[in-house]
Amino acid sequence: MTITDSVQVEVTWIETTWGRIRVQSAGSGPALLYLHPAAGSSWRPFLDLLAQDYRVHVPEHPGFGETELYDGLDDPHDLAFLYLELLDALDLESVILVGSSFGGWIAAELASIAHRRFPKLVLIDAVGLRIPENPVADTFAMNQAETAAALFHDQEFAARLFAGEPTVEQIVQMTSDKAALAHYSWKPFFNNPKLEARLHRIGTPTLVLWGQYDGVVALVHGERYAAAIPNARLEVIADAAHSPLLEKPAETIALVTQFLR
Amino acid sequence: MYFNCFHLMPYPHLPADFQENYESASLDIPNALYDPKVGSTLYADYIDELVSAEAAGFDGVCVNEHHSSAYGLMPSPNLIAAALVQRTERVKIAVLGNALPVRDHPLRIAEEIAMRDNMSKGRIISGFVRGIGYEYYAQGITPTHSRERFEEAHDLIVKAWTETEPFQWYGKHYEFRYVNVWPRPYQDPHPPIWVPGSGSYESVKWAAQHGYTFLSVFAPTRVQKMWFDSFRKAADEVDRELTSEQIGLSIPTFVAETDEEAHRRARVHMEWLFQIGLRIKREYYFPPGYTSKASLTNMLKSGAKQFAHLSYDDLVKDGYILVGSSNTVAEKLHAMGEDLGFGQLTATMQVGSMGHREALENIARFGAEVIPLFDRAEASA
Repeated sequence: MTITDSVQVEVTWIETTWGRIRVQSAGSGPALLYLHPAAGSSWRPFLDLLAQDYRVHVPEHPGFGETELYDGLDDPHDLAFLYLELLDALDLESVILVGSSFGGWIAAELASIAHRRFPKLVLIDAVGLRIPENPVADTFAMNQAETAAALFHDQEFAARLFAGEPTVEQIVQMTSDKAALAHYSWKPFFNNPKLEARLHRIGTPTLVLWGQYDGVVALVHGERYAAAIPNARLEVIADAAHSPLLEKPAETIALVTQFLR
Repeated sequence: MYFNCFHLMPYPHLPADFQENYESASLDIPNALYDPKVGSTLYADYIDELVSAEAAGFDGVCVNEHHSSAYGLMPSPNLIAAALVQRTERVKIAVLGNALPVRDHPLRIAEEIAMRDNMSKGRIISGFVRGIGYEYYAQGITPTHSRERFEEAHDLIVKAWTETEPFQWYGKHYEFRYVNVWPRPYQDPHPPIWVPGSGSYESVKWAAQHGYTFLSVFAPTRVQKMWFDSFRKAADEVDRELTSEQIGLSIPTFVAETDEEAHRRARVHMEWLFQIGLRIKREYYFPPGYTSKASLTNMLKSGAKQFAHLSYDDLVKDGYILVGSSNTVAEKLHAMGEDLGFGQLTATMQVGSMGHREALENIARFGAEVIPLFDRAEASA
């Protein structure tokens, strides 16, 4: 599999009870809902790979990018109800659900509430579980070098990604995305203490993907997700950390598409 | 001009290689570096210093709240204020302030202030602050809730002080079915409220709308002026008359026999305060969501330096600190007062690593030689 030229991405704004949500969509095939990580909603090359076989929808979590933060949405459990409504608005009764990192947490919440709407579930380096002896790392407190070390296995790759001085506008946008993340995740810190006990409800075939050296949410979280979801399988991606979709896009997407077939 | 003696109560006895080994003097600085024997003496000295400000002629003494920090040993400023009530007779006692959003129980704050107001027969000034960024890490409070919690806790406290019947509170962040604060405050309707802050427009506008006193935090003179101007503008917009006593300048101050001597002696202590005490990892100081988009943009564009990167010369030149002979300090203060339009001075008189004797001398000299040079008719009224 190779990365092809960018596909045509359509942007729509979907009205919900809470407010307007920006949704990017591309590709054709069975519907797939991709819930983006804290790094933001920008369209990434690995989404092109998915869009070759699926109709990929990427809603922007409120507070990220151009979508505003809305009253009444305070944690991923709340966001799950937002996305149930969004699926109704998009007329998607049944949809493949893929979530990465923060988006993986929302995906787990969604599936624990309404697993029958999701024929397949993929969780990638998902936060959300409360494991006090191995908690999620405090990325808010990290400087750029510490962040790079936690997110990526290959530090040269990280250096290329972080190269160049950001503009004031870029810093303000990044901080604003981080503020939304903090809003949903500061306390309890990147976890819903009740989530793990609800995962047994998920009847959906589930693939749990984890970067071998994840420095943000350690592999033990992946093992716990895979153990708690009845029909789940854990796959570890070698030589990747928290962001296998960026660091190892071809390998990661190959595992995803193989599972979805 | 009203004169207030402010104390941070720092713990300056850090290892000599502190700067090499630690990025911050707050949040994650291990308390193994705190020696209780040394600290217990510091508390006694620091309280004596504030008490001495009364005899020296100051109008008020001030304490504030900081958590997990070597530059401020007052996680509970209300405890120190209670001690000061017992040791003073005339001065106002200002807590600048209780950090409303990082506390989980606004009614406890209302109760403690009301108690102290009674115990002091109405000498309490109640400052309310949002707390510094790292305190949202230290106290586990979501930074995006900061302003909402600040405003709701304030509304609840003021209502608890002024309602004379029990009431219910169903807010977004706080819920109490029985609000009934005993005792109610001594002052009618309640102690004066001051709002210390770093001048974000949201803060000064809120202070102006409520008719409160705005007090600056350490900053260059040009920035202080900008904050005061924006406070006056905000008051104008809501048709509030401001007196100069509602505008306070906060500044570390040292006076000695001559300018030369004052700078020679102040330097090391000022350097400790800014370069060590206020040393903090950037990410701790700015948890995401604590600062609004507009304020953050302003801050980034202003290119303000972090405290720890300021040299002593920067501190003097930019007006972060006030150092000199009594005449020099009085002249500078007079000129700044005219230019910036403040009528409250909140001077930090024990600075950084300054020892007890030097702090007492600074307070006494300022009281004997600087305060009398100002028009005191209003202040004594």
